Amino acid sequence: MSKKDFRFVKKESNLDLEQARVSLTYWQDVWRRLKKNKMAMFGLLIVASIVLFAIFGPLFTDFDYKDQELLLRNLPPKLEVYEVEDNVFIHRTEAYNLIEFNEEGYVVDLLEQVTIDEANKIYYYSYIKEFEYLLVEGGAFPLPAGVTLDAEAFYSEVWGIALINVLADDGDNQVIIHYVHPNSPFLSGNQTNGTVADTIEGLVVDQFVFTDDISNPDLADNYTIKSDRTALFMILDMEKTLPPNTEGIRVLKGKLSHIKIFSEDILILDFGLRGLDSSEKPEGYEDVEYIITYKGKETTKITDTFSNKTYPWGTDFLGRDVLTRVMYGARISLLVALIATLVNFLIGITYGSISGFFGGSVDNIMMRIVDIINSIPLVLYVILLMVVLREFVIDVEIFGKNRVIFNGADGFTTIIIALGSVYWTGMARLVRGQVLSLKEQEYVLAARTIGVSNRKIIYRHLIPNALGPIIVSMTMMIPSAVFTEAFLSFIGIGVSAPQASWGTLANEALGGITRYTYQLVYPSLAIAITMLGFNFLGDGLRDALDPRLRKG
Amino acid sequence: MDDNRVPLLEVINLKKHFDKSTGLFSKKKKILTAVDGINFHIYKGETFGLVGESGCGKSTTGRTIVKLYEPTDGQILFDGVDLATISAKNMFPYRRKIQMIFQDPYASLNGRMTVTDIIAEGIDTHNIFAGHENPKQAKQEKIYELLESVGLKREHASRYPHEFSGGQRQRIGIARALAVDPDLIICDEPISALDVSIQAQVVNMLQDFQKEKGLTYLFIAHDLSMVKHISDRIGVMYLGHMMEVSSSDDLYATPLHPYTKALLSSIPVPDPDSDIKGSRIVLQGDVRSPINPKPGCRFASRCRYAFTEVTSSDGSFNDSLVGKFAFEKIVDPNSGDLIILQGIEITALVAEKLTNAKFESVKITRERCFNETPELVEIKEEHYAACHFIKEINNLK
Repeated sequence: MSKKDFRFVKKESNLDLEQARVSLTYWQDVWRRLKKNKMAMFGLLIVASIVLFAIFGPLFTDFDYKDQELLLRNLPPKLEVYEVEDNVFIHRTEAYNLIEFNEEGYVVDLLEQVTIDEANKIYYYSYIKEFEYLLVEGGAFPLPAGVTLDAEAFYSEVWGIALINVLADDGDNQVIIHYVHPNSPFLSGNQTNGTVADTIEGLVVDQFVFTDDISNPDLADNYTIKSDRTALFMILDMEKTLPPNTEGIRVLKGKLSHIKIFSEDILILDFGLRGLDSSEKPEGYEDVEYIITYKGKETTKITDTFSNKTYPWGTDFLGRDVLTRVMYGARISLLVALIATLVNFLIGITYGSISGFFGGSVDNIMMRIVDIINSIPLVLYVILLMVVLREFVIDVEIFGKNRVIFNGADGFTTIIIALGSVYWTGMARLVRGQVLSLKEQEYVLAARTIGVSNRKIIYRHLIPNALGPIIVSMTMMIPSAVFTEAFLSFIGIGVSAPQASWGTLANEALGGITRYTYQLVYPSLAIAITMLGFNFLGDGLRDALDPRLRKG
Repeated sequence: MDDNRVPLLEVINLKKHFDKSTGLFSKKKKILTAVDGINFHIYKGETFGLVGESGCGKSTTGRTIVKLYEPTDGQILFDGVDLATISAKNMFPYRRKIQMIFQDPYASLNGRMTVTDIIAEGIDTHNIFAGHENPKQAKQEKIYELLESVGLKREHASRYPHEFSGGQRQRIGIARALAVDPDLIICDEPISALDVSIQAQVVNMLQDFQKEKGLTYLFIAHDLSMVKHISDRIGVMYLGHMMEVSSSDDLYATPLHPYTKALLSSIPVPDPDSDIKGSRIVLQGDVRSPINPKPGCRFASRCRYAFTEVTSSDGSFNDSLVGKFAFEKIVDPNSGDLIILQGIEITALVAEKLTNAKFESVKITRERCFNETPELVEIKEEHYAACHFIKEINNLK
């Protein structure tokens, strides 16, 4: 290499290597670090799911948190059923209510107790069976040639059935079957005017009486057929009544949508064998406790176990859907936690930063106040607040309507006030500590040298730099508030019935803890998962906000 | 040098004490005398260096001058106005005139603010462009101008401090101080956290600004060669007291105070053949605690002139030593037993022990050094020192 290989560069030429890296703000950097932390992302996922569950869950259920059906109380999520007939599943509750489920696990009906033979321990239930005939549109049963109908008659080509309106003795309009097509799907055999004796799907039908409320045009298309002798109901959904055709016969064409036929039968539950020693039981019934007899057929064993689809998480002691209540509980619990945390955040930051920034005797006095507040037991405090606030109802007239903006009797506001007014002490201490150390930082001194006001120093320099631990503390405070709320509700001083918080649910479930464990499991699981999620997220946030604090 | 130079800043008998008492019920107050009655003045347009070892109160002095700390006593005359007693509200306009550059470039910039926000803080606070027709644009232009003048680029304005190196951060800190057009800048060890190569750049930049804008610096440092390079006049501090104040050249050529002598002898000389090792003064003992200090010269316990020697030829030790104080720890050379600790009064028993150990001479303290605080007096023209025996030590008239 010789001197020729080198040349002089101008002194001014820009030899600085520019960094090509994208300029990340602090928060972008935090998010990047958080994304790397699998545990934290898992926690975030849990938290997001629970929040979505709380917000949107109730929109997807058919029940309200206060809907109760006493006869369906304490239904478990896993059902034990007796199959009394093909695809007819009967579940027996502890209170000897019989509930019919279909093979998919949905509640079909509740069997009505007709007679109770307490002495022999035999209960009789009315079992109404439903047949539904769905019709193919344009079913072809045209009026055969040679058949003439009265001018008053309606004829449905779909059903092959002609009906006439008659005025009954009591003045009601009755519809009487006037003619049935020989190939009609639900009728065959002999028929005379108004009287049909035949079988429909194994049912003996004596007489159909169509009652038609003509005064109500909307109902005009509904016909109920009642037979007095054998319990049978029939619903015909028809659409429009067409004008008479050329022959003077009004014909319904292909618009009869479906027919439902209900039949009633008696189902017998015999629990006379229950509690007997197996030696005392008749032969062949050694293991049997309950005998369900339907149409002469005895069912003695639980034939199947499947999931409850109508009440996926079962029902509680008042027959309310546990899933729906857990969803509403999530709303209440998270809302209480969120509001309490926000209140804490505001009070804690203001109080802590003032105390830390001014220091000295101001700090001393303010921190002693915190110590005093901290020394009041929370439970005692909430009970006192409950007593005091119970009398308080504030209603304000807004747009001419009286609206209650505060009701001390419902535990919701009280618990928020209680948590909000006690929990901030931790936050205040944290912020004070942060501010105490940060205010000696040189950038704060620089701001003071420039003459920046104390207020601006606090909110432009101190709080933004203390925000990391503050956010971590808030994420940790939410599960703690959820838990405290659950605890207070659990011991009965939280939100009041029928409102549901997870703690209330757990409390209500406590009575049946041995037999209906699922009622306690679901709300407890919700509490546990929420706390886990928030704690994972909080841990991850702490690592992401301050990498120096990372454990291990 | 000019005789009719005007002092911009005059510090008269400035004291800053911190109350370190702990607990509600402690009876004795613990007063930390960080700065205990110092005097100096800085002329307009000059650089005054303030040196001393760690913990001697240099930074406290600087921070007290900008009223980051309320002074306990004394006067801070800036342009004839006493800032020590001024109210916070009346202090506000002077905040613009006195600025500070900090030691740690990593701690002195708020990590949550962009460079623009950091530099603009002073401009916004003092509403510098209030009368301007387009204050926003004027501010932005000023920020770009400042960034370029400290050797950064316009595009750096929107970045965050963590994206810069230490030297670049210190430049941002300087730009922040310059943004309000100050008269006096207190440089609190602005280069001690930087690489040597960067130190020179920053110092040269500071000097350029001084020439350009007529700035006055109070330059606090413990790097003696750098202070010599930048300062016109230098003050040497030890434990809250000013030991010596002099022009830079005079101080380095003929240091008068024993502490300054020791301090200057510690400057390494980049010459392996130098006989500096022989002339290096190694100080014995530790710096005394600044909490509730006793009267007397603060340096006395480590000063090699703060004692007299009593020899055994003068007679028995008993007569001449009892009632005096031992200057250093004395150990029996034969048995290795401790005879007396430093600064303890010599009793008859100790004197006997010394006699028995056949000591030929014993160092005892000079009482004046330990009982009476020396005043800072002018020894030569513009050369002040605080020592009772300054003339004796330096063989002056």
